[in-house]
Amino acid sequence: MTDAFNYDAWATALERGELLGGRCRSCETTFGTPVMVCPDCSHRGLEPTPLSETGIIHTVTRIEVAPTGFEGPFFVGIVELEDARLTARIEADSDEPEIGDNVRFAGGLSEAPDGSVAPLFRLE
Amino acid sequence: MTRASVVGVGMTTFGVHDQPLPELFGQAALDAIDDSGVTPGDIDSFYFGNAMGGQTENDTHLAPTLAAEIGLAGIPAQRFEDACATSANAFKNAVEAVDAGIHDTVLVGGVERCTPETGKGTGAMTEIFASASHRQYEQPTGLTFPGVFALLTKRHMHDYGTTERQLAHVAVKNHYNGTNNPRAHFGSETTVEAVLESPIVADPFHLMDCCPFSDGAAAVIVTSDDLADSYDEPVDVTGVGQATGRVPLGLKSDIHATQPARDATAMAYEQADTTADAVDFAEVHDCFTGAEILASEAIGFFEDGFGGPAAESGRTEIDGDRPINPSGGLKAKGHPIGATGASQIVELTEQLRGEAGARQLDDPTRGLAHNLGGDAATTVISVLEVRG
Repeated sequence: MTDAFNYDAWATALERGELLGGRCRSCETTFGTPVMVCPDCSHRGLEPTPLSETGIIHTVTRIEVAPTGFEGPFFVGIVELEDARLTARIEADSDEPEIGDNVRFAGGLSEAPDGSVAPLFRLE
Repeated sequence: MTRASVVGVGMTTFGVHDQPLPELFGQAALDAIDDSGVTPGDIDSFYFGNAMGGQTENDTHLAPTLAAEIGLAGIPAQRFEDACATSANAFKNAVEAVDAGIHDTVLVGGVERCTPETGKGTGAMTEIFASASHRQYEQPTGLTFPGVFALLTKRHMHDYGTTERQLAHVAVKNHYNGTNNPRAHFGSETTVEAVLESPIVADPFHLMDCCPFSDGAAAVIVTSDDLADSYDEPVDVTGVGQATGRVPLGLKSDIHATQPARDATAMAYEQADTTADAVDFAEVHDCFTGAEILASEAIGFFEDGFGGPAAESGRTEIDGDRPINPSGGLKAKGHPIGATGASQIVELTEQLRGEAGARQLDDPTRGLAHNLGGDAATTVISVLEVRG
């Protein structure tokens, strides 16, 4: 499958500032990250689909004790978009992000020591 | 129905150890062998758990090394890795092999060192622990393991009104139980205020909501139902269930349900032909206080949303109607990752034999162990009973 929606396609898009999810070609369910086989219907092959760029915080935590290579504190949450959920870094200027708050996609974050990219959302 | 029987148990203290892994495990294994009275030549196979020896101390291929250390070179030996559920998975496979008649008598156990004795400090160990979250879709966010369980617990608090005080009660209870366990990492009591005033690790978890980094080992001897009566104090394994769930967190439909724990519990109860109401006590995977609340609901001790109030009202204390973690749990007994699941089997066995000393429950006949791995995507549930 040359057009497989895989990690490389997801990460490359994210580095360009584009948030892609995977949509099952059979049951049409959308997921926030690529997976080879649809978790819902076992169909092989998801196609890339742009995810909505706004959503709400499903859950969030302020990490004070960070892994080596990261500097705490920072917020990590699960963001609920119109069509999927995914784990993301959440940026807030002054307020503490809370469950139910509105967030907007703000590009890819490359803070990990190995440079790998994570989705970044900002509190609206 | 009895699938297999535990006929010997052994474990080191959990805490700080400077011995190499083979010697640390050897202590627990030889204690289990002596406790059972098994002739070492009768041990047919070795089911071993170690989660992170390669990352923490550059030590792998441990199953044959450890077997050789205790005179068991030659028998089949296999290592299991399932994050924090590592040695419960070894136990599950051992019970299944004995139940299927593949082996008669086996050694099961685990060992891990997580303290700075490994040469790794908090930041490095936090990074290693985070390796159990999704490498591509979670680790780059900086998510830690306290962070994973904080995400589950925060949503539980939001949906059910679970409070930080209720979480703190779990720590207070487990610390108290730990004072009655001579092998516990922590032997001191704490208070709700002390928990709530300790520094935040990942909110809502304060430092005192988190289990420690520990070193230690635990081992058990498992034999067949047919051979169990030739040993002094067999305890029967009547059910072992394991299930997995979706990874990463974003794919899970209900994150605080810890669905694999519910699925594994249903399997174990069905095998044992029992229900939550007939289980006298449980050892559950309280890596963080919130994890004990979620576990207490997943194993059916409390309805969803009632785990927090139950902890606060004392129902899970050693003299409550639903005792949880009489050993002190991961929170006070300690959490040497690969040894934790086996140590829960040790506690169940000692409680069911009536040998738990100052923390002995009132004549229990059936206990459950809940050992969870990763972001709750693996759980092994074991039901043990007094031999009928």
